[in-house]
Amino acid sequence: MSDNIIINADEFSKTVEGGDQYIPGVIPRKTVYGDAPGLVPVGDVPDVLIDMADAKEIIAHCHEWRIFPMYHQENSWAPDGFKWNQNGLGYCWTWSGTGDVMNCRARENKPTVMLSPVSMGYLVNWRNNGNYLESFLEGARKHGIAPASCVPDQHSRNPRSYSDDWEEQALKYRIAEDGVWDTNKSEMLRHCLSILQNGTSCHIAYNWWGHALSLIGLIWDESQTNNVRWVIRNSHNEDTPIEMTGRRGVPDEAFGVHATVTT
Amino acid sequence: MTCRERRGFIFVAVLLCTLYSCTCGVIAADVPTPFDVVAKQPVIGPKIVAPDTAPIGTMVHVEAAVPEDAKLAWAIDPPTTNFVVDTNGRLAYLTGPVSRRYLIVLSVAYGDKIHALTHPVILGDDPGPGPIPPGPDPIPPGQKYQVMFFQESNDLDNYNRDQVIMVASDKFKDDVDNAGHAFLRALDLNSITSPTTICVDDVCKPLDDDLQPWYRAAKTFKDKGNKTPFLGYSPREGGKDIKIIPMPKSLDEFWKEIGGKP
Repeated sequence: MSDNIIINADEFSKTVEGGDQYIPGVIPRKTVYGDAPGLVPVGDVPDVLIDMADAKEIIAHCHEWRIFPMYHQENSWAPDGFKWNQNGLGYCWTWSGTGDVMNCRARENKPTVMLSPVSMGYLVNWRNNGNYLESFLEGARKHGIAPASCVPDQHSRNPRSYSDDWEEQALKYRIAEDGVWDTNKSEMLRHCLSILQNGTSCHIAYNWWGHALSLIGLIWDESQTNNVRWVIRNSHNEDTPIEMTGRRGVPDEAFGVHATVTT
Repeated sequence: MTCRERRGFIFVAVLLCTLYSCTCGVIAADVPTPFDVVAKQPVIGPKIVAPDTAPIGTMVHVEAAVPEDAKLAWAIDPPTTNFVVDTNGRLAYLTGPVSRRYLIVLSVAYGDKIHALTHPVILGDDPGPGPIPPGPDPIPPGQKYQVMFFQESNDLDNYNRDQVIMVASDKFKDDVDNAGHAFLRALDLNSITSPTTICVDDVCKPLDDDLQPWYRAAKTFKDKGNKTPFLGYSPREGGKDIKIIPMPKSLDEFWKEIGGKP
């Protein structure tokens, strides 16, 4: 039995849409699967795609061997009890994506370096705005993410308070060229599990929530829609991952960050 | 002794000293001199200055005696990660753990001339004539290793389940480390082709990365026509050659290769 917070997305969404919980932190993608610059359609890597008939066994295998990124994450930058907090900023798009880059580095067995999500604020001119996930991914690919050591206040949108070399340091923590897999909404569960089974987490968005998060695993649960619970690292100061269930627990967007540059 | 006699004595003494020092200079040119002195000798023609033989365990200094404006490209056959060229390109260093014949090759371009120079070096006991065995220096069995995997995650067609475990399993990493080895990285080889320099205001400098020899070894292996994924390993204590092989097809094969199966 998991100690994670379990959220039924179908019920939760009723309180979110148009309500106080709606945080417009992510803007629905403009591009379509297979036609997104810099993103590799996961369906173009045929043997990566799983057969959904094997999903139960694959999920069990990924837990047995601790392949899911939830394990890499826990063993590196987000140990048990760690809180990941965007602190009211509309920056879920970078908190989640930065987590995915750190997850990828953990899977690659690179040294754990805490990165600073707020340093990506230049993508929205340092305003407290939502953003496209693709914008974050392009920024992280071209310019990287500054290490937290360069940013004294992890929620400061004033780059003058950062170290002089923060942009230079960020270049060390970039997503590699062709380092992101794209997914198709119509096959979201299959595509996400295909990515997760390689130890790669997914930068995801729920449009009904206007929120971006990081998908780090799946739990087989035949009492739930699609027989799964979606294990997610949220950035609302929780000290455990959350688990989404229900029809609306299926992400609207997902991008697998599977390679970072060599540093 | 009169003042005149004293002046004559001093003159003779100075003359003798001058002659002696000139003689010493001639002799000195034939005596091995410290390396930095050799580097300052006038260059008559481009050449490689290095000993022909050296004991195992010593660092062989290899110098390019070339005009200052020459452009250089070094190579060594067989390839070895124990051959390092310093940052100004004029000096190189060779060492190695086993007896072997090497051929150092230097391409020198200056003005409108291009020279191809070679210099054989035998490390340790001469293994004798005949073809130089290909591949890196052999690694003694029964060691603890550093381990690194190289994959191409957009070309996973030939990966089986055990191979995915090797590059993606947190448990497998622990198994490797608990067996006394050191799991270094599981990297996408294509990510290594990303820029390895940082450029700010048109000023570029290399990224700090002490794993560069691993990347070079993996790329060299791929350039020879081998298809990813690869396993690289080298003795844990460091300073030895890196062996790159196709990734084992199974976990059993992996443990058979490096030993210490849990």
